[in-house]
Amino acid sequence: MTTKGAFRFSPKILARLGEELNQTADQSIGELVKNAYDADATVCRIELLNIGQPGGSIIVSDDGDGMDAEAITEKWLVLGRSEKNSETLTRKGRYPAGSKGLGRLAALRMGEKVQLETIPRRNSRRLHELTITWSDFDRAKVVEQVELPIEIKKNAKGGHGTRTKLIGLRGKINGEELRRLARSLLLLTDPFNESQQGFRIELLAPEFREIEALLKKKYFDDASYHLKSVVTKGVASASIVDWQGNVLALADHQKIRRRRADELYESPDVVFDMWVFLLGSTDEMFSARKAGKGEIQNWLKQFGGVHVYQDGIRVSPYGNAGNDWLELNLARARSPEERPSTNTSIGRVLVSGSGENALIQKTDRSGFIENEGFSELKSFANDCLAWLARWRLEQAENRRTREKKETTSALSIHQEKIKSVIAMLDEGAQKKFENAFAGYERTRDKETDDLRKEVQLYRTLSTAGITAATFAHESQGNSLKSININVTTLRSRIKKLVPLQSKEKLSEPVEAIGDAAKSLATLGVATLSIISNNKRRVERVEIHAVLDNLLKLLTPFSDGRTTTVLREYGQGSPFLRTSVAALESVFANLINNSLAAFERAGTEDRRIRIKTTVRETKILVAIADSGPGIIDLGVDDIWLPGISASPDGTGLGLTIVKDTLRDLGGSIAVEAAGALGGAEFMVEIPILGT
Amino acid sequence: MSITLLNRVIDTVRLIDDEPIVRTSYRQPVDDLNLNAIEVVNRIGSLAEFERLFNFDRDAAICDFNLKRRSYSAFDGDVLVSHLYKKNVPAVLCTRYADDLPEAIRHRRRHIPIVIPPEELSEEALIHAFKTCIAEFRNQYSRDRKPWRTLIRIEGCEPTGADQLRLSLFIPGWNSSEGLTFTVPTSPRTADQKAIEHIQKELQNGEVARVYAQVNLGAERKQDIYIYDWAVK
Repeated sequence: MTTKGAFRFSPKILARLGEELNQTADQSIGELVKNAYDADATVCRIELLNIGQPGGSIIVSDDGDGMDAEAITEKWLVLGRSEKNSETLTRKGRYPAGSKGLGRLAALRMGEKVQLETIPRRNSRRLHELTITWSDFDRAKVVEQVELPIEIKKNAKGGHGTRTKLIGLRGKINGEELRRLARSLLLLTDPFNESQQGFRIELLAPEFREIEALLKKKYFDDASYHLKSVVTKGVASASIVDWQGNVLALADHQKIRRRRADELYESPDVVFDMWVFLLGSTDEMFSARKAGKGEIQNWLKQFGGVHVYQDGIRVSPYGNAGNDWLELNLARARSPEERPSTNTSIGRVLVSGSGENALIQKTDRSGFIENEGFSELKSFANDCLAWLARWRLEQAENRRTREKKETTSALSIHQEKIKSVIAMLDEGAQKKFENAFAGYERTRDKETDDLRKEVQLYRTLSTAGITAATFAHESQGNSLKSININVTTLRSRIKKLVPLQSKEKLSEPVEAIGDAAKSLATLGVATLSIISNNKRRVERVEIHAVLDNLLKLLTPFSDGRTTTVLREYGQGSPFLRTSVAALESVFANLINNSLAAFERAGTEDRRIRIKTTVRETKILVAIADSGPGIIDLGVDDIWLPGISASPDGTGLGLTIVKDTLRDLGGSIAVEAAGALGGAEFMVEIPILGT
Repeated sequence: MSITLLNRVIDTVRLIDDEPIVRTSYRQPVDDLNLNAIEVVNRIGSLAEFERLFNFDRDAAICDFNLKRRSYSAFDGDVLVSHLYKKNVPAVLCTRYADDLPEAIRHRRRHIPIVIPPEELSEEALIHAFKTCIAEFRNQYSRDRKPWRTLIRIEGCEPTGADQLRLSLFIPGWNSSEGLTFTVPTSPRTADQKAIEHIQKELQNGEVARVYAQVNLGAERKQDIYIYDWAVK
């Protein structure tokens, strides 16, 4: 004998699947609106009644195709059947957007009761009514026990569509949630696309009117750049256009994908548009802006970010307030000039819900399942933004070159103007003005000349630095590495293979080679370390650690000049927010000066003392040496560029020190004969803590 | 010829460097160990192709870090050594950066147990390196390499490329006052990703992020620290 069994569900499952999905009010109501869209409605109206307190009601009504009794029982009341991925279009050619399942259940359970009224388009003389009272389920053992009668009535008024009333709301909807609801409803069907209307949402609330009016303004024409990009069958292309649609730059797959150019994007076909606004900039392309900065900022505050649309319907949470899924703000923090943030841009990503690598939405409607396809979509969008940033960098550089030329010609124009004004004066005054102006011109020319020399010197030093780094790289990687390994091998073989009496003869030259290689290696490491890219990052920097690392790096130089470096640090680890490079340029230049002074004066007892003292929010670093002190120059002159006590010196070291300290908000003072008899520099830097 | 270390036989050491003169130099200590030294001469175009060169049971490797200056390899040594480690092939990275490891090496340190500076590449150093690898393949770690689950406090992060984030963090279980930086990939998506997203979110909200991870708390130097298995709880 056999008997049949079947799964049945406890009513508790309704709460688990409904409330515990934890949908926000805007997501829940959005699900009902999506149902209206799928029913080919042209308008969907949402009424909110007494929602400021629990117990209120929400009515969602549409003029869509409605349902008959069969559709209600076979579809509407069946949970979990999703047609989301169906490629079957609706009568009006729309891709189904609603989940037809769990998301809608969560919406229906917002209240204690649901009243459904629906008139099918095929038979508008019949009205179907269904009421669900959720407390009935609490008393039942299994879900199926609660019968839901569908009442069929005559309908003389005609029309068609569905009206869903949620009665006795379990919670309240506050002002902020209402604004979020209005925003999410307005963004639900791609508002960027003028042509794709035909579905209108009306929310009967003042917040909606306000936000709708703002959305309608559409400041796209005021954008500084519009990035248009697509992926078709894995191949990307992009363009940057101005407000009139004129192309400013074009990129093919290779230019966008760069080092992975031979790989296709394993994403669905994508359209990615981004409108970038240079709100703080004086960029000339932005001067034609029609709207005020404040207006645009307010608009972007509401709608900014990159929104994603699948088959024309928005997918949350991408582009929601606080959702920066492309990490625009992080990238902007690093390159504020070239990168847009969510506050200065608006964008959309359009994807299809079918086809190769189609993205699948998560059951809890919290976005797409983050698979390879989604990751590739993100890579594509980020690569396009990186290309835009590179292009902007290039533009900025071109502008700088252009401005430089323009400044020179502007100078000649102004010179001519002054001369023509002088010519208008009487002869005596003319002479006086000409002399005065000639004097001014000579001083200015000298200043320009000095600056030019200084810039040239900086360029020469940079070139020397780059050349030194290249040399260091090459020698470290190949020749020195090979010498080092072979010296180690020789040492080991001498130990094992050479008779005791001959060992010394071989060991001595081998050790000499080893020592020389070690010195060369350290010099190379020091060179490379000084220019390391990481050191130019602004971050929390501990001063004592910087000093320790620097002294370690300079050991071959100080040892080579038989110099003892004494450290007397105050307590704690004082730190500030800066780059390691900035602090190193201060201390390395001062220590180098001391080493050079010893050499110049032939000092016998060579000592450098570095003493730090923390005083409230500042650190004092005193660097004293036992050299000759400042004897050939005036103490005030040493800071000037090009002034050096050493014939081979650049005269830029102390200028760099002073400029850097000014940037750090610090200061420097000097004593010609300090604590150790030689020069002593007192550096003061503001710190954040110890 | 072969040697047996911790019951594992090694008979061949493959030498990976884009400089022929350096590969020849690597050969010296290997010769002294009486092992077969084979230079990898052809371009390393893919990891699959690369691993086919190896007998996973009997081979070991010495590898340089910078391998991409010429067309010798599509990968740097950190990628190759960590790949071999994951395949249970003892491999040692030989680089002048040993005392100041670049971030690229540091974020793969979990799978790069030994980094030897060129001047220390000797028979003894090689034996020690290979033994360390073999022991770790059997989950036997030295004190400075043993992983412990611990709390990490992240105070800053910044992108350092399309797919990477550089975190500024403290590991109180290692040293509560010494900060360090650590680079983590943001792509491809891994199990760690949830924690990385949590970190970004917390920092964007102006908070300090706290997560858990496996860390070799016994490491003496900052650069020897490895961090993996990031988790929010």
